Amino acid sequence: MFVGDYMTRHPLTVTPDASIVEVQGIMSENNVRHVPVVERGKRLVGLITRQNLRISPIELSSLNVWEITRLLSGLKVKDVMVRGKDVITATPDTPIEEAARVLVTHRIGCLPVLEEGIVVGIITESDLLTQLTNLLGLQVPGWRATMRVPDRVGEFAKITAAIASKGWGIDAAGSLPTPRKPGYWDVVIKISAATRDELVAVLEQIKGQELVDIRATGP
Amino acid sequence: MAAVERTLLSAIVRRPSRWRRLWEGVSIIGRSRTAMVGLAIVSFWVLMAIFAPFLTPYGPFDQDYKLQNAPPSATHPLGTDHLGRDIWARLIYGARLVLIMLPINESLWLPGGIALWGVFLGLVAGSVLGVLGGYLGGWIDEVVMRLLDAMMAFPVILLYMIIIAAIGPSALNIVLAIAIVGTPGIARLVRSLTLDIRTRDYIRAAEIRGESVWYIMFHEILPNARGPLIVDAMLRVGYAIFAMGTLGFLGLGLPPPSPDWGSMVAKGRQYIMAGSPWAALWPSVAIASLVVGLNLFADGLREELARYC
Amino acid sequence: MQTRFHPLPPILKVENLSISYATRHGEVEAVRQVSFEVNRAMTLGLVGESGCGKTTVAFGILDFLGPNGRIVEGSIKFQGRELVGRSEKELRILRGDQITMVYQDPMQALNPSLTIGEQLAEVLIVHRSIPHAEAWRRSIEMLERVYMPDAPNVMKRYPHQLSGGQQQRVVIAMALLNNPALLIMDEPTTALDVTVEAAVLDLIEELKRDFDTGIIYITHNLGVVARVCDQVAVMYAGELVECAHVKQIFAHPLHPYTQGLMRCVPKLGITKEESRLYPIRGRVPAPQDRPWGACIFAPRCDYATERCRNERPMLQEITPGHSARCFYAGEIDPSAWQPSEEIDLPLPGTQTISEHETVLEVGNLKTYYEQPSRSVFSLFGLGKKKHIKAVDDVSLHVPRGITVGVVGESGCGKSTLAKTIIGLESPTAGVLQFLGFDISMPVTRRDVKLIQQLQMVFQNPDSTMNPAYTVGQQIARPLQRFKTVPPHQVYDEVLRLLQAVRLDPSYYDRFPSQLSGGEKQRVGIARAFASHPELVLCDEPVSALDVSVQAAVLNLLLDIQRRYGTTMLFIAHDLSVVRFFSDMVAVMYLGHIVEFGSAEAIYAPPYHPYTEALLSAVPIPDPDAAQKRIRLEGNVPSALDPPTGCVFHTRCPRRGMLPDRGKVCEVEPPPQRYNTKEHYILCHIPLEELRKMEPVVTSS
Repeated sequence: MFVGDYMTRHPLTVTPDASIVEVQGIMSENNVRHVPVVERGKRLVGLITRQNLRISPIELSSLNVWEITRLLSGLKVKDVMVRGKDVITATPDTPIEEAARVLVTHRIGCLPVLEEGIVVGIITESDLLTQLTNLLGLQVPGWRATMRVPDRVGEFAKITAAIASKGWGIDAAGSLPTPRKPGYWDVVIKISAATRDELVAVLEQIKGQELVDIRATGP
Repeated sequence: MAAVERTLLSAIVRRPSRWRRLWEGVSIIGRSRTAMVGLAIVSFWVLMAIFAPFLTPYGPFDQDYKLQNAPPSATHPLGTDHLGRDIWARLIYGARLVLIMLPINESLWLPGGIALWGVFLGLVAGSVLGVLGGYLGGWIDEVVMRLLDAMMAFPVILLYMIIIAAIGPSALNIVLAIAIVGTPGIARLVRSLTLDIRTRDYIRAAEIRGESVWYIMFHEILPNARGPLIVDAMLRVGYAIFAMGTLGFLGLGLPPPSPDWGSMVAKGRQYIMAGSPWAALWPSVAIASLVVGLNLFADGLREELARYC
Repeated sequence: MQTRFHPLPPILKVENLSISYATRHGEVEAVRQVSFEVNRAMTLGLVGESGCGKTTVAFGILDFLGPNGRIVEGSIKFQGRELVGRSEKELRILRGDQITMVYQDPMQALNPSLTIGEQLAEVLIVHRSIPHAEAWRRSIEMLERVYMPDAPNVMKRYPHQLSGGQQQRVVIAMALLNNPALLIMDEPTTALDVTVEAAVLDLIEELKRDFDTGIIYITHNLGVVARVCDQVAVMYAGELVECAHVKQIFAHPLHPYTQGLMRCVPKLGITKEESRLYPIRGRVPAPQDRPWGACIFAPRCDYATERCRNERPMLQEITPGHSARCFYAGEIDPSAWQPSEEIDLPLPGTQTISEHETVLEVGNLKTYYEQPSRSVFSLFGLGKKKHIKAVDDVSLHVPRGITVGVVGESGCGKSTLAKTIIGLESPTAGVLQFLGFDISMPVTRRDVKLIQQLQMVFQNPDSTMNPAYTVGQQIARPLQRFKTVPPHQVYDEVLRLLQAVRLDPSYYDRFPSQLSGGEKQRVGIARAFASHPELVLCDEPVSALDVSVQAAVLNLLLDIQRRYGTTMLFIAHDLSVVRFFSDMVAVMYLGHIVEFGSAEAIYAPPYHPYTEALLSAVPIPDPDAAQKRIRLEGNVPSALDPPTGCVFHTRCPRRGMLPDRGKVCEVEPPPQRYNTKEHYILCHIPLEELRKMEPVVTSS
């Protein structure tokens, strides 16, 4: 689970000398929000986001329509972009949770992924959220069961043993401390090989655990 | 029955005439401006040579003792030489020797000039040697090629002088000299073309038909070498004319008083400083223009052949 | 493959692209209003016969159109940016940096005077300004990535020191070094052997997944398309006629042209008795003869109506994700198709095979070439002479009227075998009898009567005819030479032969330069059959031809063979074609026939391990067919110094079936094990074991 596995390779890029009108076109046409700015050899020199392209009304208020048009058409990417050293980046071997932490702490939407200064990809909030859905098995149709288990060693093994004894496979699993209930964890598992009734029967027999919720999820 | 079928089939087949195909071949020259310019220059000299008797009232040997080393005038368009002969007349009669007629002796001459005959004979000898070496390979190739290499090691002009010195200057001997000097180059060209052509499947097809070596060499291989050979021959005619001029200049050309361009330059040279450069200038211009014309023609032809064939 | 909730923008989006060339005939449109998209980790196959504009599209994207080509209209958007109208300089930076191309001939992309390492490292140094040592290290990594054995040493070698397959790997490595977003491959495996091709195709598939590269794969081979492509765009005469996912294209081709193409290729496993190939009649119109206000395929289409001839159909989506440029797409039922009377099909039925009459008898034939040694000793005749064992101990019995197919990789000796039989090489040892006469001498010393009975059809249509003579003259020559007919009938006989190969009498006076590849091959066939030979050797007669032409030429050969009762030796590397065309098949490896038997027997277990590997490498034009994946490692060993024991032991994937990891294979030559009277396998593994193997191909 590293950035290199989940990033978008071959991201759209622009050059520092491109006009921002052109960049706006590219971004809206392709429905992307972040575009790394590269010079020759795909070396990162900056980053353009939707915010950079927004020009504050105060700046424009004193200008008439023609002057605004001129201002806009004259603006280059290098005039508005986030400069190279200010761009926060990742490498392909950054763990995805680390990437997520960086995104959240810096309140930013994307990380260009660099390999020795060369842009090899980009990872965005949506990429990470997509992987959250994968983590909990949204991509396969099946049953999503939530078990509330005590915070003790061996509780997760009970669940896996119970399911493995039936010969079913676990499509996805994840666990978090139960909110507002210290000493307990919520374990979410995704199973597609069993029917609801079979699954409920097996899970309810596990001692010391509670089946909180079961529902069908999937694409 | 068979006869009926034959006429029927023949009626279906629309056979383009030989002339039409020849014309298609010739028409590719028309696409190249270079070739056309070259052709115009060459044609000019050919026409002059053919119609020489009608283009001047003088013969090449007619002397006017009163008018020696005269500048161009109405009566003598290019002037006269030191013996009072009309240079224009000598030039166009000289062109005959180069391009139109090969004098064997006093009364007999063959059509085709010295340069043409020389190149033609060289072409025949070179093609035979080249195709032999290229197709048969082995020791024949070694022997032939080493011999020709040895010949090519001599500077061309030296080779000419040795040959003419050995067999004496005459029209026929100059033809021979041109042929001998040209042979190694042509043989090399034909050999390299043969080495390429012999790998083609149609040569395999002929071999497995059990065709004789001679058939394969002269019917299957040589016709396919013809494009580059024609171009090469054009260039060689140019060189031959040049060589004739040089030989004439060195006194190894046609014996005087023949209107040989080279000897005209040699004789005229003495009078350049005396204020009459005409006798040396015009033959030089003639040689240069003809050689340039042939080169342009050959170059243009080569480009067009490379493009369409 | 990870799933996404919002689609990523396409890497390449081509819209309404038209390209034209200035020629002697004026401005000629080579590509007309082509649109397609290439996404990440997707292979788009551009399929069609030669002259359909596939390569022109690729060159248009790269702006390699040359001084006389230009983009007339349309847009090419690469990574969101418009390429049409960009300056030469900007495009040059993009090329080689984000778009790369792999050509059919790897030597076109490699500089023969630089080492592999210098060339690979240079890409990184120039485009990425990476220091030399680092670039060198990454190049080695990339070579290892494309499974190049001994990568660090390969870096120091020159291109000519590598085999064709390895060269193509180097080119692919070079193309991927920059991690391009788009890779254009123009017939990258056409020049390679089937086993090497299979390995390269596997590699392409893997790299596409790992690097998320968008690939445009140009090919004419439907089998390759089925194996590597995700999306297929069929081109015909400069237009895109059909575009769909690969499974849809093969399962439900909508456009009559695509349907026609499918009928042209022999599927692996069908034979000439049970099935036929149906060529598409006519030929691809030259660019200057293409109609504007009509369907471009109408003249060759069996469903064409008045409307098709007067109105140009647009590319329309018939079912989701499947579009075709045809008014009647979706209404046509290809299963109800009947061949029109205009295409020529071979006479039905089989020809008589007389088992008792032997036409060709080859016994323990050996053809060795002497390798000139470069040592000083050899100058004095002291050096040990080395021999290339091109054909080593081959026995073959060919009854009258049969077709024997010979298959194997290049360098297996199949061409040398043919050359020895035809008399262009002299055998070193062994028996070679034709119609009971000894023919172990060169052709020049054979009797004319024998020569006449033994003819050959060649591979390369461009060199099979002498460019200096007309078609008529060339067909007439064997007639005159062998006096097949009296001199005054030669002309009629030539016309009759032209008719037999389906050429109009007006071809009599044409020169080879005025003929298409298929027509030249027909003339070659007419020439070979002019002397009514008993045995005809066909050396890859269709491998250089387009599929529809290939089908027509195969039909023609079949027809003539059935008419004259000719015996044939059919050499080819395409196993589907051999299977279709041959009664008996010989599989050759390094000068030996490792398996021989009837065509059905060869294509079903028990297999020789080499046959099994060959079959699993054949690209099958059916994306649903399951095929075992057996890949041979390494190259064919040099025939100068063949492996001891079984020649195949160095690459054999089945040695593990023998005790002691097949020690015996390295020591002893394998025995001939007879499965049936006519089917033998040259292998140490017992037949019972070999019989247990599963069939290589199981179609769904």
